[in-house]
Amino acid sequence: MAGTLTISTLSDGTNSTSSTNCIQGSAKAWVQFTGSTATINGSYNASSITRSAAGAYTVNFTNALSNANYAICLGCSRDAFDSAHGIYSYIYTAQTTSSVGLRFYIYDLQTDPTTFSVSILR
Amino acid sequence: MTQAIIFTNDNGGVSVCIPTGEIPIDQVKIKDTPSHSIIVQMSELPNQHNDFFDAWELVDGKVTVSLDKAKEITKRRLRAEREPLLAAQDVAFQRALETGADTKAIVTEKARLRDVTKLADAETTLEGLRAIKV
Repeated sequence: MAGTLTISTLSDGTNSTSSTNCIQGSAKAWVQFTGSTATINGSYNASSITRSAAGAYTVNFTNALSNANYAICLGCSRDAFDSAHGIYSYIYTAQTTSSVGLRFYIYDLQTDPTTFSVSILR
Repeated sequence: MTQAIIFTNDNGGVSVCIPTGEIPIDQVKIKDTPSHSIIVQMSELPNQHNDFFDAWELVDGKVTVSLDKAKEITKRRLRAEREPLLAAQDVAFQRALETGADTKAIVTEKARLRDVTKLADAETTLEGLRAIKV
């Protein structure tokens, strides 16, 4: 059913919240994928994952975001790694309205995480 | 059959674009990949050599694995694996010096760790490279 419901507050009768919290606070895109294959395990507003090297990915959005000033939340898992070596991930390329590039490292070795989770908020 | 979009990237390697299924793969190809990309079946990719993904090369529409690049990947792995072991040997060497203990075994082990990457040069198969351990 098409249509628009314009309200400023949502309430269940006990608790209420501004509709702005829902609009501004919800993820505009998210994806969770397997690092070694870029197999997508779940997504919203993500058209594809491009794996260009071990630990190097680009998340492409299905519908472009209204601007590139969005926040990115990254989560990674790694089943096996030497505890002496730290793991980290970071935003590699400039954020654009259509995609963002990401990297994953163990120590100084760019490699695949077991799973990679990305959420886009703005 | 699951499909992917592949293309040679700026580094000479192969980029693999996996659609999420939110839009048809033809649209993903146009929107998310360069014009020289091609759509392939996932089963056509050498996924059994995924640990050497950075050695993949796209030649005449087929993905192959470069042995020379695989050797370099193996060397990087070995360097990372030996780094904490070398550090431990350095500590042991220093302690041996302080106590006047024999350092011969430590020196031998440090030399073995330093030379372990040379093992990759002699290998002629991916399985052989995979089998090299620190």
